[in-house]
Amino acid sequence: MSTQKEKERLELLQGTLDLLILRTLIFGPQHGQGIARAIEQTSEDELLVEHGALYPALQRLEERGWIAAEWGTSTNNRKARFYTLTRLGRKQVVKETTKWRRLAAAIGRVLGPEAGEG
Amino acid sequence: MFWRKRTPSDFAAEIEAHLALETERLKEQGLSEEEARTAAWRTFGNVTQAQERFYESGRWLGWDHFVQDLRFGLRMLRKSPSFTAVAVISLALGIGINTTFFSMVDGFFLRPLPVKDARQLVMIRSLPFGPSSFADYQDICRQAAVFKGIVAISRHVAFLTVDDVTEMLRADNVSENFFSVLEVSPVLGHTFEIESTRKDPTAVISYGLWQRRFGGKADAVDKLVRLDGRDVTIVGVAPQWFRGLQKGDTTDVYFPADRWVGKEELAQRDNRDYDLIARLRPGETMAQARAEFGTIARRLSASFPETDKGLNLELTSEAEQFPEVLRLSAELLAAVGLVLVICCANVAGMALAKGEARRRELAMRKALGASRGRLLRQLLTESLVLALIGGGVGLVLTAYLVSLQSVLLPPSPFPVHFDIRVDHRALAYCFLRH
Repeated sequence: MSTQKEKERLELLQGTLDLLILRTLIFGPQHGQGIARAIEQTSEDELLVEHGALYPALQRLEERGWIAAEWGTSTNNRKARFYTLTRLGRKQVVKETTKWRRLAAAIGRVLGPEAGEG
Repeated sequence: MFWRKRTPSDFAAEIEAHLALETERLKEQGLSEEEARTAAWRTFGNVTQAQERFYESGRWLGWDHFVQDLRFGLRMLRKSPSFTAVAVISLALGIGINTTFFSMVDGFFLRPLPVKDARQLVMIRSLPFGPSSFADYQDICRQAAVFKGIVAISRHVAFLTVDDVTEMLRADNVSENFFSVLEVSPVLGHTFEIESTRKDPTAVISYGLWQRRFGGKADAVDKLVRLDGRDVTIVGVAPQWFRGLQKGDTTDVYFPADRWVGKEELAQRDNRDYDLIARLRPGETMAQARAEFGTIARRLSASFPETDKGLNLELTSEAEQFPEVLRLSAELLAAVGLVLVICCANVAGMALAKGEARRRELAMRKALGASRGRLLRQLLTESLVLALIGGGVGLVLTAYLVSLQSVLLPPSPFPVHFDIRVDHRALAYCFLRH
């Protein structure tokens, strides 16, 4: 995989990072760096997660009670803080996903069919 | 959620862990230790900024800012002593006058008569005269069935001499049933009805007088003292909570009318000296009482045309009176409240003028990165400090004024009641103004 390929990556829209974090955690507990990786990989490197922005977001979600955190050991034996989705967070994923899908579809309809734009 | 607060060092450790993991991953992709580390830092972005954001999300930040503003506010007030003095004085005056007035209104109007079941009490007035004569009172008592009892009371000032020391005090001439109808039992001795066979003048004294002049000793009962130059035997002491029927005032001596006043004088129907207060029998309504008293008044008017022609007995219950009293009190308080409004407007005006002068300072702080909200908070905190100081001085002033008014007005020592709500209102008001 490319590390610093100067391909244009999409910057995250405001508010979407929270949803992506929650979504990623559906597959099980993960630490911050893992979450960032997972988002980048599943978006096929289209999305750019600024790692520095990730942690305040995690903190925010934790305070809302959507995720819980615990220090643990990573696969390669390093200390890391692992995040798990709480039941409240699970509900939130469903709610936010539906909302996002509707929004995306609506915007898509407004923009019209894909034109040959280059 | 306070207890779950993360420490900044924990947060820093997490970032550290992240950078280590990221460096490792990059090294696996074939970068050198050095390159991997730099890359990890670069993709992370601004570490300090992340930490700052973490700090700002914390709840302690608000407190830190408040303490900062508080210190700054105090410093600003100290720097302009004349502004501070004038503002504090006008606030203190406004608040002081308001709380004083409130405690007076509260003492005189709002609290019910200090008697058991005061809401059952009914005032009887002989219109168009006002007070009633003792002869009419006795006739009314014989005819009225709706009341448990009716008391007559005539207020006087008398000279009491105990052991050659004379003082002027409030002495009420009352009907014999006064204490039993009001359901006041003496703490010492007894009241008048029990010894109604007795013919010599007797008196019941207040708890305050008992403490003051007789040292609270039991031998005060049966003691012979002089009241207005006549020998009188003390037979009982009223309880501490009973201060008489005059709101905001204390009666010290009660003496029974029929043993003090001559028979002839009591029989004069045009000698209207007595206020009548009755206690409604449970189950009786004011309408029933009014109907009955209409009949009694007509009867009196027919029997004694010379004195009682056109007599109308008007009944007013404490319970009925209360809303009226409340309305009146509210109006009075509103009027005094305006004084406070003016004081606040004054202070607000001065603060505005000062704000104009501080424009440079605020512009500077803004340029250095303070948000509008942050500046607003700072100004509000300064106002709060000012308002608190003003309120504090105002309360001290209230205590002084309330103690003064018992000197200025006829002796009426009633308890001081600070009304904190007034203070709150003042604070809220000052907040709105700034």
